[in-house]
Amino acid sequence: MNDAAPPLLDVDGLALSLARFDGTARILNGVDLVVFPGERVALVGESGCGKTLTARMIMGLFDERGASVEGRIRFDDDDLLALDARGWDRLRGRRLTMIFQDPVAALNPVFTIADQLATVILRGGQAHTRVEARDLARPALAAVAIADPDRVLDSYPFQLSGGLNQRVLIAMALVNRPALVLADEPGTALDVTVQAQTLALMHNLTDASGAAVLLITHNLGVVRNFAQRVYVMYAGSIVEEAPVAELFAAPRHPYTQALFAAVPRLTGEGLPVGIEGGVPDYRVPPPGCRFHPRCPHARPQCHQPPPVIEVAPGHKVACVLFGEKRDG
Amino acid sequence: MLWPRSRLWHRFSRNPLSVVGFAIMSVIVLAALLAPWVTPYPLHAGAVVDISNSGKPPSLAHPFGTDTVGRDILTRTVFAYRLSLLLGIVVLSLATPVGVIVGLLAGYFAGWRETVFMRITDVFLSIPPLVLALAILGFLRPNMINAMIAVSAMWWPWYARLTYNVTRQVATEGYVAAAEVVGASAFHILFREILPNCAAPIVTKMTLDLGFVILLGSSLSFLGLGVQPPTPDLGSMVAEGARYLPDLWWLAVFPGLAILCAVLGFNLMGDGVRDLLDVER
Amino acid sequence: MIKYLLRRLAASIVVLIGVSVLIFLIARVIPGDPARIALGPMASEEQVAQLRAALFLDRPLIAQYVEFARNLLRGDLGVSLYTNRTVTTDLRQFLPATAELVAAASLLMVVIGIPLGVLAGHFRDRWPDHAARLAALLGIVAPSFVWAIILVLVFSYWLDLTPVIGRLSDSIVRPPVTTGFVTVDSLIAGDWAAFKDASWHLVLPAVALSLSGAGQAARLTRANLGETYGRDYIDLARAYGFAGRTIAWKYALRPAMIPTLTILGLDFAAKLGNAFLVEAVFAWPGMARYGVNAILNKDLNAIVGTVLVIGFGFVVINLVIDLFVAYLDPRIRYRAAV
Repeated sequence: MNDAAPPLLDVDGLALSLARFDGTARILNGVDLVVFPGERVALVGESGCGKTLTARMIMGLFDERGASVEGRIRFDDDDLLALDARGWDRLRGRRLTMIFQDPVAALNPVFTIADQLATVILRGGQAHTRVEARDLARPALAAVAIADPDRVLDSYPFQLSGGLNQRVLIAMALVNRPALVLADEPGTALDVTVQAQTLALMHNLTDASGAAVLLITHNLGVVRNFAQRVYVMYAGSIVEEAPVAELFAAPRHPYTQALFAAVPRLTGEGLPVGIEGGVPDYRVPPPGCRFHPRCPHARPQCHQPPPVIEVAPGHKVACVLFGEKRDG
Repeated sequence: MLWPRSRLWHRFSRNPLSVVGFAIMSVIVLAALLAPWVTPYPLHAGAVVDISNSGKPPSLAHPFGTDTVGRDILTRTVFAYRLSLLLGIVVLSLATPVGVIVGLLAGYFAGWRETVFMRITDVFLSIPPLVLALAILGFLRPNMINAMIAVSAMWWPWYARLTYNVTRQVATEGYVAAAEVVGASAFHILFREILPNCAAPIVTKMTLDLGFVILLGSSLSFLGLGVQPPTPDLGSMVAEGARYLPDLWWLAVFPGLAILCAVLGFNLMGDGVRDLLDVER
Repeated sequence: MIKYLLRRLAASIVVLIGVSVLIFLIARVIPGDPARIALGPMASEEQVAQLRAALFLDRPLIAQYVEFARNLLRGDLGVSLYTNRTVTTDLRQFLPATAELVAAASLLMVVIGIPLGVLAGHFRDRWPDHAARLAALLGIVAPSFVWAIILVLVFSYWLDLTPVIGRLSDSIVRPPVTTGFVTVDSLIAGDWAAFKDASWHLVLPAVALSLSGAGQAARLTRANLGETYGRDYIDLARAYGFAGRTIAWKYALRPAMIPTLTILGLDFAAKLGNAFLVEAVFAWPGMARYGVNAILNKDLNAIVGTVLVIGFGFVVINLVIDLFVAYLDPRIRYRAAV
């Protein structure tokens, strides 16, 4: 990527605490993340690590009361955490779009695809009537390999297969030529082949349109062929970031290594190895590095907030292990 | 129970409206229980005549005014609460067990029992309750006891419906299957395994319903088909007072507001109980 | 769709048969000997026996029901002991007034209740929500006759805006009867004075009757909207920047209306009986006075007729709602056709 260009999306020290009646949970614990124009970035982590929440905050969908937010989210020249309704109106569905996890749940069950897609297209400003919008919807659906756009347009979501709904969502996300698409585990609600098709489609289409993608997933396996850079998230913090090849060749953070060990493989020997322990309690998180109770290399210094070390160009790790090495 | 500072109270009091409901309900129940001692003119609950005081508007001596024969309306309202509460309690203690048993049997045993019981329930549910109660009263003598019978006869199907739905849901759970596998009797499964699951929604519904039974009872006596004079009853007091609108407006308005308060109290309280027992709507 | 309709229709017919059996049983079993009641304590045993035979009361219960149902299908509900006319004639006279009141109240219920619920659901946990919920609750917790009395007191007596009783002022000539609804008939006749007068008479009773249903409608709409707002498709609508108003009134309201209407239909039909209470306050010349008189006078046929008509109304209202729900919910329209 062209690192000289300013990032399209810049999440800086994003933290979120929720006041519950039995204590305050610090669910995001300082997330730093950038996406450059046209770049495909993956954010990987297990369920409950805060990756979906991060996406929802970028999209401005998180509005729970009693939440205290720190940090900054910049998109182009806008501060998303301080954006007013008019600002959101300018971005959402136009410059910034989102693909949801479960395509069937994400489409309104009582309106036709045509209706929903047209509402999106009308927001893009390329069409001014629903008839014009439909003329734009057809090629948009054809682009996601839907053979008979008119039948799909006149259908309700429940009349289509999960895979077709998924492609409708992709068409919806790309039809207004956004600068950034957030993709929250696209297709994980569906079967593996559909998931693979989805990612392949998105790869090709965003390559063609120049849209950047932030892919959120728990599955390291799908990242390799899709993303250019990867962020690994654990319990509300980014623990490692690296170009995809670098990460797969030499994962550094103990958590990343454990994730790789847990991936089932068709080739190679032995069964996948699970990670001991569970996701920590966010109300009373472990002090310092939140992974240390599960970490095989844990040591007393882990009770301090971990330093972020750049172990190779573009490869950063939040772990004391690498600080020690460089120091001594 | 709901003691201040207990954990249950903490959950209950998260919604301030539930506390308001609890307060209203407590005042009404206490006042009704202690009516002979807390009302200013306890004798006015009967057939007393005090012509010199008739038709007096609300004042310090008579906060709700006096009726056409000079009786204190506040006193009669508080005494009327006794009957309303009695009606509510009797009706629910008659209707709930019947409905629950029908619902349990229909929900647990598939086949003809389910069909027959639930069809019967549906038929009852498809006649407006007030009309059904009226019809039953039509063939009986209109009085308090018969009003209770009539209201109970149309109230049980709601409990049958509710219990049936919960039972249908629960009957597929693992522990019920487990009990069946070890050869537990149907009685054991129905009353020990399934019924406890129905308790929360049933208790919630009973709290809410107490208000609505009072409302229905007052509707019957408003039409002259419930409690007969001179026993004080909210519905008949409103009906009587309506004849003297607009000059003696307090005759109808205060007993009417008294019904409103009672139903409101039990309703808010019921919402609190719902939160407390975590019942889904 | 057709299949769905037929199924709903069949279910309605089953309910209607059930209602007729129930009211038949209530009428035959509870009061003891209907023949004795009809003839009074002065009649001789012979007269009673004769009437018993004439009414098929000496036959088994099932045969009696068959006879009852056969008459019912012919539209023969017997003679009212109180008015000495056939019950059908009586119903034809009193039903339209009640139907007009109920129709107006249903309209108000939807027009008041659903927007109130949308307001509350859209501004959840903010002050418009609290105000709307309080209003809805007040509608629900007061019996309709209490609202009727308060409305009459305030609007008719104190503010002198609306008439106190009846459907039409004495000075107005009733337009020719076409539908039985005075408001509609006067419109058909082009009689504006009559229409205005009839509407003014109708408004308070209709409001009083609608309040409890409107409150329930608002609560249900709010609850179901709350559920809908938690759905992914609303997140998607927000993520694509659909206008708040478009989401509230289109993409959230329509799915939320499906469960709301179903329950509302049952609930409102259950409140048909409240028309009796409101009619009593406004001296509305409908079913209430007829029904209450029938009950006080032990007029069996009239009671049976009244209950049947209201049960029929219940079934019709729910059938209409089912149709509307099917219109709103494509899953019903298309799946049922398979």
